[in-house]
Amino acid sequence: MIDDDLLELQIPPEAEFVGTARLFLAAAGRHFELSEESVADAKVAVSEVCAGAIESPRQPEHLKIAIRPGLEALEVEVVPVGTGIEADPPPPVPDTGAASFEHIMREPLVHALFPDAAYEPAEHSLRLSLPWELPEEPQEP
Amino acid sequence: MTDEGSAEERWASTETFAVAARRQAGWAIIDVKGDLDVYSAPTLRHVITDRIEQGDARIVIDLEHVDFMDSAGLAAMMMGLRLAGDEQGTLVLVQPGDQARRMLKLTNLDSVLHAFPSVEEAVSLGDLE
Repeated sequence: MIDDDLLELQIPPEAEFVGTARLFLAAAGRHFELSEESVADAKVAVSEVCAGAIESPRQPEHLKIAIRPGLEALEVEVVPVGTGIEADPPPPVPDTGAASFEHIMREPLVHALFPDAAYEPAEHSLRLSLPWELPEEPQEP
Repeated sequence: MTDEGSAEERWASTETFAVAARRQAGWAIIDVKGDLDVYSAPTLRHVITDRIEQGDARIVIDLEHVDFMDSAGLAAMMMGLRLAGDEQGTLVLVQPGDQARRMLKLTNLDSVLHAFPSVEEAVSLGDLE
């Protein structure tokens, strides 16, 4: 969806749609001519937020990924849409340690990538900025 | 999800991810393709666990064709390293790309998940660890 300069995508809180959110970021990154490295970091951060929402017992109805060009940066926001309903507890699975490990890593990883990001794991929300990359000025002869 | 291939290498795949296991020089080689995230990591965890239960406690994860990895992928490999260690084995990586290397470095997991430039070097040098 495009409304003026705003790009928005809404996905269900299901694992198979997280890749779609990353494709959306990649397309926006190309459109706004951001470096592959900064877009790659944003893809990780958005994936982590989406994964947190997907694994939460209080899932939102949807997750909205909004991208808006600002004066100094491309602003990326993930927000939950719709009040979450307490889901039935998932069936017991053998504790491999993997799930708890990624829960522990999620927040430090997002902050390592974007120290200034506003990340609220419990709210499944994220706001981060990808500064514009100015073209190098030509050297004076 | 499809499951196809030879008995030596069976691919479990989705549209954006595929994983297969084979044996080489006494090691289980797990080839991974695509994005390693909350959607695909459970499949990798299943393949790793299956190999260890089959008695293959020395595992190589080939990441050459992994385009994206987040904490779910890292967690799957850490789980594999722990399970392999419980069986006196190990788990090493091959050819993580730039993005995967960045994830490993940011989380300091590059100090425990050792990476090698090729499967051949992993199965030879990995024996020395």
